[in-house]
Amino acid sequence: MTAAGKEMLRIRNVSKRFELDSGSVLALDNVSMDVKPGEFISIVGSSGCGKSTLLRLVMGLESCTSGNIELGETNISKPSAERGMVFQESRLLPWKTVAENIAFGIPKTNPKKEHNAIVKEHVELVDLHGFEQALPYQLSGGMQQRVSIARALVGRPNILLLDEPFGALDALTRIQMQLEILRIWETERKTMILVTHDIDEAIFLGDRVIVMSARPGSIRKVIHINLPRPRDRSSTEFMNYRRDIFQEFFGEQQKPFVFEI
Amino acid sequence: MPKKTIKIFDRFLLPVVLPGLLIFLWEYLAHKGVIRSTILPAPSVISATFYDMVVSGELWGHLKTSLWRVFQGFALGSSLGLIAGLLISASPRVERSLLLVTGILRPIPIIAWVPVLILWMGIDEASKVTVISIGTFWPVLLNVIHGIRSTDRKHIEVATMLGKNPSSILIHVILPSALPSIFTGLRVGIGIAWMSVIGAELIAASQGLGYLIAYARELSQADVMLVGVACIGFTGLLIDILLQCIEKRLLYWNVNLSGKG
Ligand SMILES: Nc1ncnc2c1ncn2[C@@H]1O[C@H](COP(=O)(O)OP(=O)(O)O)[C@@H](O)[C@H]1O
Ligand SMILES: [Mg+2]
Repeated sequence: MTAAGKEMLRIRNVSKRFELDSGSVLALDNVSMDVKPGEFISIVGSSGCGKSTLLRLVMGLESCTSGNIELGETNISKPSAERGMVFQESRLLPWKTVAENIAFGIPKTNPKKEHNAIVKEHVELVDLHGFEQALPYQLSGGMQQRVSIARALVGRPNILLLDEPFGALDALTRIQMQLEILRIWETERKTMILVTHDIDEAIFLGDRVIVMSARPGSIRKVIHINLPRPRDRSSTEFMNYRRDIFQEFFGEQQKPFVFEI
Repeated sequence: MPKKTIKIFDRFLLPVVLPGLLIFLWEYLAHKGVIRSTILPAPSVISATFYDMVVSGELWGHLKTSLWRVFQGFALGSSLGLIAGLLISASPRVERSLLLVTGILRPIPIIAWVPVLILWMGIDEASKVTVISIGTFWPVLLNVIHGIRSTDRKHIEVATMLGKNPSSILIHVILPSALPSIFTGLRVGIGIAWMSVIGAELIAASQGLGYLIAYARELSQADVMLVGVACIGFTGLLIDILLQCIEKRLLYWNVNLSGKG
């Protein structure tokens, strides 16, 4: 691993306010968190609590109203190849083939003659061999998301940001994609930050689960998941974590999904 | 009937059934003397005239002249439309400064330009090519602007995230996404160009299909006039089919197009 890959991501007292005609929205209020290199962070929270905003700030697509985000010694202010992002919609360019879409993610500093090899490597990584020449509309939702992941990885980022990447997929494909992401995380050893509304997904993948609360968006609780991988979704420990997180959302009195054994 | 036969019937035979019946009726009425031949000659008479004019090369001479004018005017008008569309989309200040000028110029019927341009440029080629280019310019301009405006912001964001510079974003994202709309502009444009050339030739020319019709009217040759009119119609149809073929090839990725069959 390179030295750059060992850098810590520091989110320090970050607030983000959006100015609208109808007033302003405080999307994030004083959020702080450190992410270790190679760590897998899951973020859960109700819709509108600022999860996407936080990822966009880490990506450098927006700037903080106050506070700052640092990777190692450098302040993040604009997008860079060392961070990659995958969105809920695959956002593939419809006029480019799978191979061309993946190649679109290669930074221009890369020599042209390496492009084919890089694309090939990543087509294999996301298991899309044989679909290089297909167009996005010919792919299923899960396959489109694989292409999108490959495109985010070809720049060899140290941090991969995933904004509800499997939210639009059916339950079975989603579980398959979670295993895929786990495999990629284990082979590539990237730092990953995953936003999800699926609590099982958050526990299954994360070293830590960050629970956020809304209006204004802030961190409510951080839960360390001390379970070996691959995790068994039906184990008692898994159920306990799930209950803890549900309680964060719904409080003590209503326990919608508690399993007493 | 087997499915395939029905398909061939629907596709190729159905469109010619109605015109065939009408021509049959027309021929019948002409023979009975219900329709006067000085006003509307029988289809058989028109076909014979058509045959003579093709063999003598007269028709082709006029057609060639008109086509060449359309080609020049269309090339000029659509290039200018494309460039102006790009400039207007790129800069709100350019758009503002042109707002009033375009607002006044656009509603002027193309035919109204013919006498003006003859006064300015003389009676030969230049004035006709200019009329055609004005006719082509507007639909291309409007559709280029519309196409660029409707580029998906999410695609542009992906390109920004991947560190692409503005020219690369233009080439890889904005132009391909605007291409279907640009094509619509070109198709409308060539239709108007074809109409404009006939209009200009009707008013003042010594060659071309419009001139053929105007001259035949002076000699009261109804059959020659109708050959000219039919030739305009068929050529317009062929041009449109040609453009549709090019469009299908170029926009292979466009699901909306390939669905049409
Ligand atoms: N570009 C923007 N302009 C104005 N308000 C925004 C913008 N982006 C997000 N917001 C607001 O910020 C809040 C958090 O949004 P978001 O980060 O998308 O939430 P989440 O991803 O958790 O659902 C919401 O209230 C949303 O309306
Ligand atoms: Mg979101």
